[in-house]
Amino acid sequence: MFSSAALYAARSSILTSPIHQIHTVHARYLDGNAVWRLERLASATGMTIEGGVMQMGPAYVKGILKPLNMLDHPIILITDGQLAAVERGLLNDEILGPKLMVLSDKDALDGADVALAVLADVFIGNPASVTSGFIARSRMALGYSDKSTQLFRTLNPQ
Amino acid sequence: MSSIGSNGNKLLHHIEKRVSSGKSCNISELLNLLEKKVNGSDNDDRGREGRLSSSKSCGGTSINATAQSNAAQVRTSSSGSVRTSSGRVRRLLLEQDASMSSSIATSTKPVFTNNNNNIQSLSYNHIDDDYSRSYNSSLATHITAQTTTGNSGLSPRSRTHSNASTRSIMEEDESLASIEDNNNDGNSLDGNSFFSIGNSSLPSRISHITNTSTSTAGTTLSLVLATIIQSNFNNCKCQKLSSKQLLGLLMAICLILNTIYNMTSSTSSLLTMRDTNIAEVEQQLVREERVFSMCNRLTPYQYAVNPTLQSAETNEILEPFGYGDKPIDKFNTNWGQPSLTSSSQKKILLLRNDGKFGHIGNQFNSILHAFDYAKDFHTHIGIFGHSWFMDVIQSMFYETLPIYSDIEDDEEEVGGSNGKFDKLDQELYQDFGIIVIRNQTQLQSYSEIIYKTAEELYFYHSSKESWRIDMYNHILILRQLYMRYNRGLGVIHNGLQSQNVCDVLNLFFEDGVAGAKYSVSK
Repeated sequence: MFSSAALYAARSSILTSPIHQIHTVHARYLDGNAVWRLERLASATGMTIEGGVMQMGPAYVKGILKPLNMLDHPIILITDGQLAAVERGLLNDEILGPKLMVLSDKDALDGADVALAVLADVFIGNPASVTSGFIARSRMALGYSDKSTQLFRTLNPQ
Repeated sequence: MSSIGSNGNKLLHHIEKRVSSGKSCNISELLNLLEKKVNGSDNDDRGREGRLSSSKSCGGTSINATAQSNAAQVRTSSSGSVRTSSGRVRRLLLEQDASMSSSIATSTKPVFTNNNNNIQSLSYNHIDDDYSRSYNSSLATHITAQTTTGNSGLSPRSRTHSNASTRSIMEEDESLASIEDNNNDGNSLDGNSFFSIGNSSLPSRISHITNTSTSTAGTTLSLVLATIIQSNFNNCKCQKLSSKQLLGLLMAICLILNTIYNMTSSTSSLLTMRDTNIAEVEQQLVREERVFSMCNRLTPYQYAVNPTLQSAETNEILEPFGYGDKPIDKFNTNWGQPSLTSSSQKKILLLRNDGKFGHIGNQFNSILHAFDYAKDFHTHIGIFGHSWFMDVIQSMFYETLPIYSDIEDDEEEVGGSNGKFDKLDQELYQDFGIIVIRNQTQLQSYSEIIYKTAEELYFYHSSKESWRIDMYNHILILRQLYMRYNRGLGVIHNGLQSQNVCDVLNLFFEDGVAGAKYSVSK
């Protein structure tokens, strides 16, 4: 069984101080068809699956959020509850754990969940997930930059 | 009391001042002479509408000028009542005023009104111009100010009145007042100053041209007349005019007539130029950039709106507004399909209530692919009112807002009306070209009806060559959808209350900061 997760990180700062921060992480289970899609995408784009989008591990999340200076902000995990390892791994991380909030364990996202992901400052999704693709496309329509929407990542050996 | 044009008023006022100051003059003779020169005849003073009867001198003696109609009356305090009239001269001056002002307003009918302090002004009761119609009252006042101010230096009373009149209008319209403050220099009142807004160079150019012609001509006329009368007052002392002076008068009058002719001929070209640029002026006036805000969060998406069409303050939902070199930021609902009224063979892709496919991402992909299919095969898109398409759309977008009149519509629904969903159908057609099928007769005009399920559409892909176009269309469709996101205030097609897509965001911000604005890092 393979796991995948859509990670959603948001920084929400109020115009007047103090800054109100929030983070969300979403993880959901994808079966063999998604893996096949991921492998096709990996061969086309060179993205890293193992240790990357498939596990949504702490190192992968921090590797994206740190250059964006988003590590100090809340992370919201949206998950279907079938990938406890993803949730547990993020919660046990000393940096991400204190900032992690689990939104739901629903099987499918609804419009409100999608809106949360669309309006996030940073979205980290699984390219095998059609929902992640829809969120990324929506964010593109609303003008969010490429850096704030992370789908295809390649592990840098160094 | 009837009124005359401002120039005529100034002339008479000037004469009145001369009379009241005790300087000897022969006003009636002078006016009579002017009148004759204008008419080209030295005789037949009587029989015209301005019948003149005057005494020989004016020093302390009343001069009676009786006009049968349209008499202008000027009263002085020192010499008692002095009534002067010269119908032809006055008419000439009125024509001059009218022609000057008509260079500003089109299709105007001058209405001469008299105000409380006996300062006569020129106003217009009709401006046949779409753009000017909204500024009708202000325009009339501005034109009055322009007509009066154009003869600066001759009648301070009139000028003061113009300023006061303009200010009164300005106080009623703060936005216009701010525009005036930004564009007027000192005491200069500009009849077309409301064209000169912001950094608009074209309106300023129009204003400059119009003002130049009107003010120059008005000033020329007034100065020539004043000079002539002044010289005659200083030199003639109630004596007969010399041939040199007569020649000077004749030349001055010719100059006046020539100026009026030139102004009249140039008016049409000026107005044509102005009319052709009205749309551009209007765009520059009303264009307003907005940042799209969703669930109280500002997004990077900015668009231009036309607040005169939709009030930005009262209507939260605003439509994109194309302008300038930017493309119209809206999905093009004409993707090559024949028009609805076309007699040619038409095809329609009909989407029914045969079940959704997948989760929310798959469902919206099916919708986007339906547009791709319709584009590729030049078909219309038709959906049933209770179809998976409508269900997916309204899960996040296009809720039907409650309208009080809908209660009545619901009661009349048996008559074929769809009540509150009529507006939804119109919006879906206008925004996406989607035809909501409420009656089977709507399908009679189609030669071919194509059925596709959500799953079939999900797996439909256009050719690789058109993926850029398809992606651009998808972006525009999604953008349009998000601008109508559900706020949980209305209902959806099945009559249930719509879901507020901001619910989850509000869940995290419900601790007293739900209404706060949030910054967005790009």
